Amino acid sequence: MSALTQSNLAAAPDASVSAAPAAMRMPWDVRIAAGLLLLVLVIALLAGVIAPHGYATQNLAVRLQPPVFMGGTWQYPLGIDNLGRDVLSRLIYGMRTSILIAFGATLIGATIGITLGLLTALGQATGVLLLVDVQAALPSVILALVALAFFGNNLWLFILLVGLEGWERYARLTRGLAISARETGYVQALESLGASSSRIYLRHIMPNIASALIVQATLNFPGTVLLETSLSFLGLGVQPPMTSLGLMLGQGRLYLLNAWWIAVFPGLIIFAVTLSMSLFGDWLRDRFDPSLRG
Amino acid sequence: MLINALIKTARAFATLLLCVTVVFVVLRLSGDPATILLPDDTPQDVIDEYRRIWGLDRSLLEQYFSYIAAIPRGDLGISFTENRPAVQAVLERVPATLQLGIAALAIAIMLGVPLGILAALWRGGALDRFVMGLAVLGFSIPNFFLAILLIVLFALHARWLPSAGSETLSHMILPVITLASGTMGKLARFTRTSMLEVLGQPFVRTAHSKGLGQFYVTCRHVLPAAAIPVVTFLGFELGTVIAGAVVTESVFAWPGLGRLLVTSVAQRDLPVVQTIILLVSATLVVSNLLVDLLYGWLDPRVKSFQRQAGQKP
Repeated sequence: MSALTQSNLAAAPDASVSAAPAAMRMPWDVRIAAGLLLLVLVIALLAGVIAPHGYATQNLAVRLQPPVFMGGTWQYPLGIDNLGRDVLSRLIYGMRTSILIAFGATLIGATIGITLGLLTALGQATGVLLLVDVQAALPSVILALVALAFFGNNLWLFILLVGLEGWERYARLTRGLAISARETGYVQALESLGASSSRIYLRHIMPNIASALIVQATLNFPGTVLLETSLSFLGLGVQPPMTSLGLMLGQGRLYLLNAWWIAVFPGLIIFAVTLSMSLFGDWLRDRFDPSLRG
Repeated sequence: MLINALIKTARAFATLLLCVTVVFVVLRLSGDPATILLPDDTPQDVIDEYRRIWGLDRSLLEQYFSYIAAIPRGDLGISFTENRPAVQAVLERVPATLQLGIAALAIAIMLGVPLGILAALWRGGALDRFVMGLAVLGFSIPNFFLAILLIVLFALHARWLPSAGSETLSHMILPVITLASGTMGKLARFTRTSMLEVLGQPFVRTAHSKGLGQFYVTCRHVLPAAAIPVVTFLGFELGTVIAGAVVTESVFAWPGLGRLLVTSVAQRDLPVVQTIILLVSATLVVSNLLVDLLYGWLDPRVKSFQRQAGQKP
């Protein structure tokens, strides 16, 4: 526990409730991170409106034109890539692809992990515990790489595979939280009232452990973004003519010597997103769920 | 204690067998290697002959059992593309990956652990904030992006270091930095957390109240106790280093396992891919098992708990 006295205070339920208004005050770095994430999300959602050019529109006449601060023109502020496509527009559409895939994948991973975690807590599906061990022995990059290559690339399979990143962490966490919740007074009271176990788990335990799971999802998000971008970087993720931040970086890497901007801008955005999400996730965890600290 | 270790070892074996099975099933479900590898206009009798040579004409169950039965003999099939045992093709890439991975882990430990300790001892100070900032940067930066930044800055712009290949020691510098940064950041943070937890324990207060010096208490009482979770963490971090090597080796054209995996996946060289995955899973299963056993040995509380549990029946 990194702040022992703080976390001890916050571990007592009353203290955390009364401290809530003060806790909402964010330090400046978390504010910047949250603002940046919001900005990326807005750009991603409005990509079709904001982008000045299409992501696949080619104009070979201005091929490899540098960004505006290196002698380029305002028409293409961040320069042009090797196929004559506007880097800024591709960045905006790339953000949309990468962010949407990461959100979809997080949803898939969380759903699978939480469901299996609850089932094992109920004493069902104990084989899942062995699967958790298997997942720990097979890095998800390798698993996804192999599956994508052998099954052929397909966007939905790709999202599913990225979603598998971290499912076992949700499963382990949900199982642990649900088992410890079962020992508390309110669950025992519900049991003695004769509530069914599905009702106890879904209506009572789930809302109580939801904050810890949301924090876990936030902390898992950078890893999901990195998995998507790594696979696309290696050419096994998002396929052209679609674009993603990792794909741009992977293709731009061949032109580093004379057109570094093709690769460096998407890299900066991925970095900014993962960094902001880490800062934001840490803050959320310290505020709302000190038990996860570590 | 011994029975506990045996149970854990048996479980590790079961995990490994399950890994092999999952990979076998997933890869065979993806389609017939013969139709994928051979050109579209191959005559049917050639395809049949090819299937017969590679044993693809037998039933899936039969293929599975002969595959499993051959593993203890070290026979993992013949590489489709190189026409020699897959084990041979994979093993000759291992030293390069080990060289990179061990160097990266060593640097991450040598920098991350002391930085985490210093940050914890001067908690809240400028050094603490600087180290923690650096740590977050270290594990947030995607390794492929760090690789590209390093190439642009040190290989293309300054021309100090080579950007690809593995001939000399200087070829190692950029890939090792790339691979080490994430682990170093996580390690610094984890060491700090672990240290702070121990620093708040009653026995540390007791040691201080006996009048022992700060340095003595830190070295004699805090560090050994704080080291236990760090060792566990390192065991689990091995998987991240292996996964990171896939991307890092591809960017720097480093002739290791990661790059072999990417190329053999592209060529659909099934036996080689299966061998690499088996090797990776075996490494991770064994390291997790060792960490698990080491944990009981290092932490007297776990040991006594296990002893009690063992005596119960």
